[in-house]
Amino acid sequence: MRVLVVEDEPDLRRQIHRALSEAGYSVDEAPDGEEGEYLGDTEPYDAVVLDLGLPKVDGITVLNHWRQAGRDMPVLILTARDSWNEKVAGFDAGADDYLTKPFHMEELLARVRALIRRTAGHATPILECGPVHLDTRSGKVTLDGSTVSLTAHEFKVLTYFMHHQGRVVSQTELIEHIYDQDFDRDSNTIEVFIARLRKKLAPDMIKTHRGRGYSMNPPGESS
Amino acid sequence: MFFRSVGFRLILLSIVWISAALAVGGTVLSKHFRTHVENSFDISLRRHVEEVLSYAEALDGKLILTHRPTDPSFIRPLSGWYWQVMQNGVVVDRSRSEWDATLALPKKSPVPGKSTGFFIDGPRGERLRVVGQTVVIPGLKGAVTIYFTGPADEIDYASEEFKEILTTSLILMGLGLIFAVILQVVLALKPLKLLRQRLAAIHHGDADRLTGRYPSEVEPLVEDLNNLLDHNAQVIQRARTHAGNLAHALKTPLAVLSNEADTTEGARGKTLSEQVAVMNELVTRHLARARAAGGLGAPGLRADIGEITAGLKRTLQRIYAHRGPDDDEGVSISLVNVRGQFVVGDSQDIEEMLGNLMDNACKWSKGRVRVRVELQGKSTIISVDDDGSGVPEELRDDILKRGKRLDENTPGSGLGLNIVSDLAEMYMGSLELGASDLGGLRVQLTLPAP
Repeated sequence: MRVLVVEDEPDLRRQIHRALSEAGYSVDEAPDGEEGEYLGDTEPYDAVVLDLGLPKVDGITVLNHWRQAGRDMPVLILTARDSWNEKVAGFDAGADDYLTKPFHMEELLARVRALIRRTAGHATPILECGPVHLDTRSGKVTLDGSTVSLTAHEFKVLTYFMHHQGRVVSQTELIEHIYDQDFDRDSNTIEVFIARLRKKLAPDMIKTHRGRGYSMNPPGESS
Repeated sequence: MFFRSVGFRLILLSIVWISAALAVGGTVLSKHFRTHVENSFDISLRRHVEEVLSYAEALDGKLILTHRPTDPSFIRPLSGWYWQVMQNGVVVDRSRSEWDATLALPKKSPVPGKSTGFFIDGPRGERLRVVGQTVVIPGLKGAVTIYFTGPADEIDYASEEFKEILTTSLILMGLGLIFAVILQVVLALKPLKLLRQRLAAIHHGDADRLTGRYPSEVEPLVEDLNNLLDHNAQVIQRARTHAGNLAHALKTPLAVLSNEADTTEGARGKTLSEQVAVMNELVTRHLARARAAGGLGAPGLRADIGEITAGLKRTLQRIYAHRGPDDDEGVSISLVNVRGQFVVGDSQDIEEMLGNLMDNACKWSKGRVRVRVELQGKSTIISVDDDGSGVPEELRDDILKRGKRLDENTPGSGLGLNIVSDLAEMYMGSLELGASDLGGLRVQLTLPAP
């Protein structure tokens, strides 16, 4: 899951980046509205944390531009502006959630998690695929009730599949959502992660569609 | 109240001076007229004196009259028209009309050559006007004085009649003048009245500047007032911008500190965390007040409750769209009688109050929230109801106290109702808590209606 953080305060940006990375997200940063808008326009993000009082271009303007251009990724506004007038303006501009500073990092993580989950159409924080359960809150993965230990990258790949069950996901899409923009991308590593996941979970849960990509289905179902 | 009105004062003063001037004028005129009537009367009497004088002759040292005045008035008994000729204090001759009486004339006869008019009492007690003239006739010892009288009634009648006409016309003239003064005052003060009405419109929020043309004496005042209003609006805007900037400037560092505190282990992290929370409360509370202070007493402000609640409903229904175990239980907010309702005040302040109230209601509700507006006299009562579990009566006062929270576990600064209460007070309104017919809490916000 890839998240964009648009925030002009370097310390806060660093804190959010660290917290989101620790929670298993790939994080991109933008220090101002202009760069934030460009990244949101060109990269496929699963969620955006957007400050309103930004240099160069204001957050509301950035959000308006994205929505006008048809960019529909969930956006969480994180701002010091706490008047209802500004909240209404934020939601009217197309925000999906609104968090005011100061905030607790767990609150931010919970909101981002909920946004991603809802966008993928999941009602509960625990994602299920046959015997595999993924608790998006704790990042815990279980197979038939027993905990499975995964590396950060394996977890990211699995989370993306769990959110998009039954759909064929191309290798490019997977790479875009798993790595942040500074990462040296290599499609071969994806194959390695999938092979490891098949080994740690059930071998037939992740199917390969030659030339198209992969799909994840509960055992016994086919796509 | 009346005495403080310029118009009333002007009219009252005018009435006083008009009445005084007319009274003095009337008195002088009627006095003057009476003198004039007396003089005319004297002249006609003197003519008779001259006549009798021409008949007077001295015969053997005695005075005789060759003729007597032929006017029948001097023959008719006790007609008031008398004449009497005196020599050395003795009556020499007199008119037939005197009958057997003698006029009670002053002992001292007039100085020769001079004839003056005066009043005496006649034989019947009536008042008489007398003209006497002393002459020296050759061949006679001692001066001869000829007196003629006429009834003083005639003078009185003439002057009374004149006085009546004069009084009537002066009163009519006075009324006319007073009417003219009132007209003048009303017309002259009309621009001021207009100004007052326009100012009232501004206070009611129907306008934000003074419009229209005013006389050159009032125009500078209007311009100054308009400048003041503009300045006021700018000051409010500036204060609000500053407050917003300050919020941003303070809250982002607070967010950084808060996150550092959360990742710091032990008592130090806890202390830091608590202090950050205290600072945040203070900043939030005082910024809310600073923002609101601008709206207080600034004329021309009016908030559309219909528009504000519609925006808040849209937003809150999105915020609370995902509740319940299956993430699909939202809050349904019904707005009753909010369209076209206004209150006096700054839109953002009113939105802040309603936002906090509706947010609270949504937070505690099981799914239903209702906002209803009622007009009661000069007040607009906005009630926000929820179907939550409500608040026991004895705890309701505590909620409104500073920073008090009944449930420490629910997110929120606990300042919501408190800020609303502060703002309501600044707007001369009030906040009351009660039980709702929906089952939960009812918060009633009373604000002045436009």
